[in-house]
Amino acid sequence: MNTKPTKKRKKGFWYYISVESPLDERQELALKSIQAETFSAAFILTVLNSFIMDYYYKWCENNSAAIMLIIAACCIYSTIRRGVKGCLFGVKGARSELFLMAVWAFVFVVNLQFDIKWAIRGIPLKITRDGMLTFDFCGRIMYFSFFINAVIMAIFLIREKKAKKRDTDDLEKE
Amino acid sequence: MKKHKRSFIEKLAYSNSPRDERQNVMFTRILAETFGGLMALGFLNVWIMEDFYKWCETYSNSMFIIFGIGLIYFVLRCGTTGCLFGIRGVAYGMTFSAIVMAVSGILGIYNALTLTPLVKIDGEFQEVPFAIVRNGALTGEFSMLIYQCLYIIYAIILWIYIIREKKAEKRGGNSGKDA
Repeated sequence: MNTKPTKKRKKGFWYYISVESPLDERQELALKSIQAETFSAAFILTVLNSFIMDYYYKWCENNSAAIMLIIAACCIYSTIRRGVKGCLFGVKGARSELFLMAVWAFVFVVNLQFDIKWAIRGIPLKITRDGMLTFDFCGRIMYFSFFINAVIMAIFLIREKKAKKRDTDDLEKE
Repeated sequence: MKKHKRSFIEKLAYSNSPRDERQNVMFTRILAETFGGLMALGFLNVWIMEDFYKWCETYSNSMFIIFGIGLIYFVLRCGTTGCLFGIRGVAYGMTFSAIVMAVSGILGIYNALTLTPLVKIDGEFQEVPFAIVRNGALTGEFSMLIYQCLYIIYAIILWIYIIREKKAEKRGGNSGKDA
């Protein structure tokens, strides 16, 4: 019987981007309910904010800057909720999530470089202007929240790996 | 023994029609879809109004119009996928909410047409005549008219689904209905 030895396929860069780690049924349901929660809270906050800024007090330079803050808060809330409910990573572990974390951290580092260059040239970042939060400051907060998201995902990933290792050790002991 | 006649508040509080597993999954999915789309539309709208063309006088009125469109999409999707009503048919609360939406829509249209609009000019609110467009943007009173009409359309669509469901129940027989 002629059996050719099967070559083990090397897992390249595109494998980690394209292959999604599928979620099981419970995780899918939890994910959808968390998404519904987050999106509805974000939309309601946006409407409330536009109402307040139109008729009462303009606390931010423009509406899109205020929405950036809302998006930042909702992103962090969603990541923490998903981590707690156990639907952050799929059944086969974190694959495309690692790439996503890297992208978020990269975006933050790129923006940090601009801030450092402007600080060296003596152009400071203004937090408020005429009693309103500036657009630049709100944008920076949004990019910082992406970095915090990446850190939170990394914490949950380490926790999951430790839990899996503990389970396999317990099984081996038995 | 006299049968206890439920009061209006009791009917509202205790009559419900829970959804089964499949309906729950579909309902949650459609809710996430709708609000995700609303959020994206809201952000797009704010960006267009700030950087390109301010098509509405106030940001809040444009958001209410977007919310009205989202409501209609939501009720149509739920109705077509069969997750609008639960296993016990039409709950009393749903008919009540349809009535409330219709009445509030009609009152809103009446207010928009009869109350004199106030516009902030040089930091002070001043009375202005009713107009559709002012300074190249949809006026607040006209956009209020639009979103109240959208809420009435939502109530009409909901009523159509309620009538259809009640007819289907009569054909199939009413079993275990609380309301």
